[in-house]
Amino acid sequence: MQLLNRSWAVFVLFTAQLVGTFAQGINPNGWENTRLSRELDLQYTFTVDTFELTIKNIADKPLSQYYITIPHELMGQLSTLTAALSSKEDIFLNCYLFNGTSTLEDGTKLGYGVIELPSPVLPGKEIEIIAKVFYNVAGRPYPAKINIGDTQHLYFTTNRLPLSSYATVESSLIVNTRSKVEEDNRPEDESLQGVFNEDTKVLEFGPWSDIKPNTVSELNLVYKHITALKEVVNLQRDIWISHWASTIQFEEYYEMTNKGAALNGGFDRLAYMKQSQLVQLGMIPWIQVLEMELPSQASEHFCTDKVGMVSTTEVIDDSLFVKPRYPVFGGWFYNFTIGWTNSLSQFARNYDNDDETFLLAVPVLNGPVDTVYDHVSVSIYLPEGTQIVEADSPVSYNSMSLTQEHSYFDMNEGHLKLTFEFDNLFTSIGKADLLIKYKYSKAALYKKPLSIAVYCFTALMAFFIIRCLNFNVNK
Amino acid sequence: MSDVVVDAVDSAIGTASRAETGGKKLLTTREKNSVHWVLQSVKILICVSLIVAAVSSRLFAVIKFESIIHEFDPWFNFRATRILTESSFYHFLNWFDSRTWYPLGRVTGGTLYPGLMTTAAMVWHGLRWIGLPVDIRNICVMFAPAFSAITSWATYELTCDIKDSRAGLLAAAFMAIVPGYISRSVAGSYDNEAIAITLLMLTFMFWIKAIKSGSILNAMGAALCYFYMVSAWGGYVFITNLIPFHVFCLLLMGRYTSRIYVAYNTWFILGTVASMQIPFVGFLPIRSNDHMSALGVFGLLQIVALGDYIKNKWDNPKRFRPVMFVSLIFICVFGVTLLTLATYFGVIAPWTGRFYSLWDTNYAKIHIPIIASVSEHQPVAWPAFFFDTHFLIWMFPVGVVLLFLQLKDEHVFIIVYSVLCSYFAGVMVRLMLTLTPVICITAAVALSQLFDVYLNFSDLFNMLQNDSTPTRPTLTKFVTKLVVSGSFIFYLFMFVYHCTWVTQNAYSSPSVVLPSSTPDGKLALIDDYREAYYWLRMNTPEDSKVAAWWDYGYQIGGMADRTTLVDNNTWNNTHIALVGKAMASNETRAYEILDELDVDYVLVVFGGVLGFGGDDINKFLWMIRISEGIWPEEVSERSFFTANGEYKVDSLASQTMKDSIMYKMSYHNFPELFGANGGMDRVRQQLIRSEDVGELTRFHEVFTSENWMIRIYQLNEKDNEGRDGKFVSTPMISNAKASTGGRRKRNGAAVGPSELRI
Amino acid sequence: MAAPTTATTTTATGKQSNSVWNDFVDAYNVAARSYWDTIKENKKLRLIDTFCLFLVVIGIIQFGFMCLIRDNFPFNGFLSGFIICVGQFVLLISLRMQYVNPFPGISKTRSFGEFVIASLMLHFVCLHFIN
Repeated sequence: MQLLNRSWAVFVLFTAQLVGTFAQGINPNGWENTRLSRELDLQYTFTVDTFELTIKNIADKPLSQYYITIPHELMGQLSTLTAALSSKEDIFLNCYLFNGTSTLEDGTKLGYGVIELPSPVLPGKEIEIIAKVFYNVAGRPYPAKINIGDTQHLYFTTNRLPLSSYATVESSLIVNTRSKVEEDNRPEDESLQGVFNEDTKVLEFGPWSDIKPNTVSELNLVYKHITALKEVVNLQRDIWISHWASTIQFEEYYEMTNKGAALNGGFDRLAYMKQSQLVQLGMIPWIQVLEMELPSQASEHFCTDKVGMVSTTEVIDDSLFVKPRYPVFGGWFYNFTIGWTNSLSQFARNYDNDDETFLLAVPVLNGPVDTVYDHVSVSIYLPEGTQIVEADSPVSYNSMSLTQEHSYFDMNEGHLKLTFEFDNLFTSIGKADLLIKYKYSKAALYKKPLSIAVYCFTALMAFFIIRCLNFNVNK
Repeated sequence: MSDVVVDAVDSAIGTASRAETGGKKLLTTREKNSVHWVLQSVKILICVSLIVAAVSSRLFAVIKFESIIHEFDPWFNFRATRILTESSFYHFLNWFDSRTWYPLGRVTGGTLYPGLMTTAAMVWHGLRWIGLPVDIRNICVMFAPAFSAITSWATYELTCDIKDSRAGLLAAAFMAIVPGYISRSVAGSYDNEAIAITLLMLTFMFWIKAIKSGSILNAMGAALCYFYMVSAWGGYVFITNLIPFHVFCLLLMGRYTSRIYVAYNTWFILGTVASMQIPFVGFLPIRSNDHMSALGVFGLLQIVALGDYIKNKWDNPKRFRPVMFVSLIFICVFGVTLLTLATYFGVIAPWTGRFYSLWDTNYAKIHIPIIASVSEHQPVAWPAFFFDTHFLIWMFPVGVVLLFLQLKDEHVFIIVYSVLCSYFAGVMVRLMLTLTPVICITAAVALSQLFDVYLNFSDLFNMLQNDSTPTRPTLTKFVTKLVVSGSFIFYLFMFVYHCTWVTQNAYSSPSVVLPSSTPDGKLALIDDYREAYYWLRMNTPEDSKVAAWWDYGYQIGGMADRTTLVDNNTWNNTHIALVGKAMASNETRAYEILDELDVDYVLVVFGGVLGFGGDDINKFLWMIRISEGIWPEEVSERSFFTANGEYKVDSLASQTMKDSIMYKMSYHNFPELFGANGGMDRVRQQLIRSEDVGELTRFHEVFTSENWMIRIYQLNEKDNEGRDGKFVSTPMISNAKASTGGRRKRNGAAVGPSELRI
Repeated sequence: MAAPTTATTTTATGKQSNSVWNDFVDAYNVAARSYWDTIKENKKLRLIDTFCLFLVVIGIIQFGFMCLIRDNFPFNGFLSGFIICVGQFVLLISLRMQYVNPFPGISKTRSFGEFVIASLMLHFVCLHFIN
């Protein structure tokens, strides 16, 4: 599942918000797609749409922005848009979502992503880029309800011909699932049909040539998906930093569901018990065990839900295996809290040899593999008296807020709580690190036990005085 | 762990008593001061280690399992506490709970004893205020151990007033670890009793102090503790009757003093008016018969005080005696007549059913099956006394006799207490709890008396100091002392061992989670309850109504957070009977009843796969009996028995039995689990064949937990004809067996084997 | 003090025998005489007893009023009013006992302090009960 490696995601940014509406869409005369080969990857809970583009400037002036068309219904589930030059794949181009939509004559609504090219492309020149769009969406279960033991199929709808604001000279499409994939409502025209390649297990379409801008053509795919579609509806991730204990504590509250096929009728334990073969093979459309990849040398693991400890949790090496109380079938929900502790030195170090400034790097997520997240809120609790110098996130966030939170023995202003809110994340993107530079002075470090001592002393003195007073009254 | 501590405590007590008794003779007055300080610090050390022992021995449940609320009632208390912390106190008192007793609802705020929840919430707020935002669940879990430490201290103070500080320390040590008290105060047992016993001891402590000193302040302390007790536990009636009874006994013994007058009247007036502040109690103290003895003694005391006044002024006390007796008799007759008349005309509420069942053990069985069905209302089995108190049970009468020999005012109290409670504990298992403190006190008195004599080696020390050669009689005396004290120290050691063992094995099971072992001998937890409750919580609409037997009401409310029809607050017998009737009816009738009640899900507990005896089939007879009490023409207990009058579930079971939804739901798909020949029910050791179990047509299975312990069914839609799902399969369940989880099962112990099988 | 109760006992015992009756009257007379004597000497006791009498009168008035209007609504109002009379009366008697004959270990001042605290407590609770 190393779809994106760490360095990949770090530079993905699409923060700019260009405002505007286009009645007619993007000017089709800017670019021409000399070659567009698209690969649709449906293996996971999320969808990866990869475009290998060779684009040519057909306008009469240099251009530096390329608009990539995104179906409007997928805009809400879009996780990330990345682009790079084919020649330098590890250098990412600046990409962002275009804040505006356009409507075609047949009523199709379109959204756009903008790729900022490194330098303006002169008229008539070509450039090769690779763009990837990640959606937090997989196919819908088809049929929507199955019996225990039936194979789960998903149904995915997309565009057959490339959907672009620009004319395309030559294009092809590859659909990659892990298994046999079939087309629903196959068109009569053989040139439009795909061929299943038994060797590579992919469905190949095209090549097609000379496709007009904004061509809408539907492609319906039915494919086998034998594992559950894990979706975290809500994740509350709390990270507590303690300089006194020199530890970093993680606590994560998950609200999960399975977007896969629901059960026909109720849950039949007898039928379920007969599927133990499938369970061992892992070919089950329900969530049996969740494997959380934790940082190395984590200790003091726990897993609870709202009625207490989940006793079936196991820790093997650096992974925490959470077995939900019941198998989570399609449409069922489960929520739980896990936590663990690491030593602080694994994540924070002194910055610039300064004793009082620290650089903290914590991953955005530590969740199970192949999972999508609708909403994630990461809170970092820094000790009392900390000052944040700088904070940065590898993925774009909805909001960042700084509040105070009173916790154990916080006699003064309380812990500093830095919260990031994210939408539409998926497992691999979460491996990137949040970077926080903060200042925690020695004075603040020693202020804490001192203030506790003062409070204790005051309480004892008050007690003593009250005792004395009482004595006097009785005399 | 506590073993070591308590052992150290016991030896320390020995040292202390030795030092004290020895100290008086050995040392000069100049040195006495320093000895006093040493003694004081030893005492404090012992008290601290007692508190550590009391708390730590109750933590087995947390160590063995987890920090979880236990059993049934604590789940309600926990839920109520959470509501209290989330809203204001006034909202809490006016809380109308529409999520229980559907569709009736329950005026929860006015029908509960708020003391426990209020205390927990106060602790929670207090800790937050000093910068410790502890989770409310952890406070609730640790509540009982914390209060047991206070109980231990109160017992110490009380016994100090009865005998001396040596007996006090022993009593406190006993109280800290005696299983009879631990049974209701382990970590997680967040029940009213957890705080009530503490308050009981505090009240008695203040009362004894008040009686001894005649101080208004002490009596006021007793009244305040009594008020607190009223707010926490229905068992406060015990105090309401015990204290007047004590005073009455003293009056009969001719021991009236003005101290008694001061103590009792202050206690009564303040306690009564304060107890009326609790919404659930309201005007009961002046209306109910349970409280009349206190009022009567109050009146009597005024007259006696007047009589005493006159008597003191009169020069000839002898002539006064007949006058007093005649007046007394007249007043008694007058009072009883008034009471009877008032009861007859309905001014005063008659005694409650539970009260009657205290005197006549068969009363409940005949008239109120719902009270009889609760196993903690059963008469206690004799071995339980030994199990719960070990060697204290035979030190107990010794202590009572020793107190009889002295018979001071406060001794009368302990004697009265022990006599009353011995009877009550014999009648109801759960009143064992109130007996335990007095056992501890009297046993400590007896034992310390014994140690005073036999652990006193000061002669020997004297001799050694004087360098005189020991004579023969002193040597034999020394040996005797050594043998006696040695054997009793051995008993103490055994006691500690027994307590630890009992606490660890019998009283630390949360009963929500059952311990078991896998075939290869590893410890495994059977977590079916939480599995199913959590499934309900996560995967059913929030306003779903779940029909289940009342035992599980509080748990469903607390863990599954769904609306229930009946729960452990068994205030409405008819509603419970209605659920029982539905369970006992055939599918068509049951569907009608449940549909009328708006039920979405039906939950049954079935132990046949696992061998868990406390399941619904074993409780089924009580459901039938309770509903038969209301609808004798529709439900008949007889028709559920075989022709031979046996309660069977195999092919011999009566047709009515097989038709009942309880039977069908329990055994749905069960025979198929084991193959063509049918399956063996491991609780009842009877063979269930697939042809015995009728198909469900109006309900369908929506969830069954891992070990089949909880099965949840949904009512079919009205136009839906149900589904057929007959499977034939081989058994594939794990061989996990439940080991003996907890001896104190609360419900349904009366029918069939109620223990888990090994 | 407690005049009504003595009245009932008088009639009851009167039927028993003449000597008992004589004893009783004698006892009453002796007690009353010595009572008046004490009262005359001790101002504090006189104060306490006047207060007691006042409370008895208030209590009787309250009870009589309830009988008169034949309605005890609001019951808790009546009850707390009545109980506060009885309670204060009882506390006063307790105080008086300690004045006449102090208990060992409790000085007169301390008993008065305790009395004040208990009375405050009683009033607080009753006020709370009245709503």
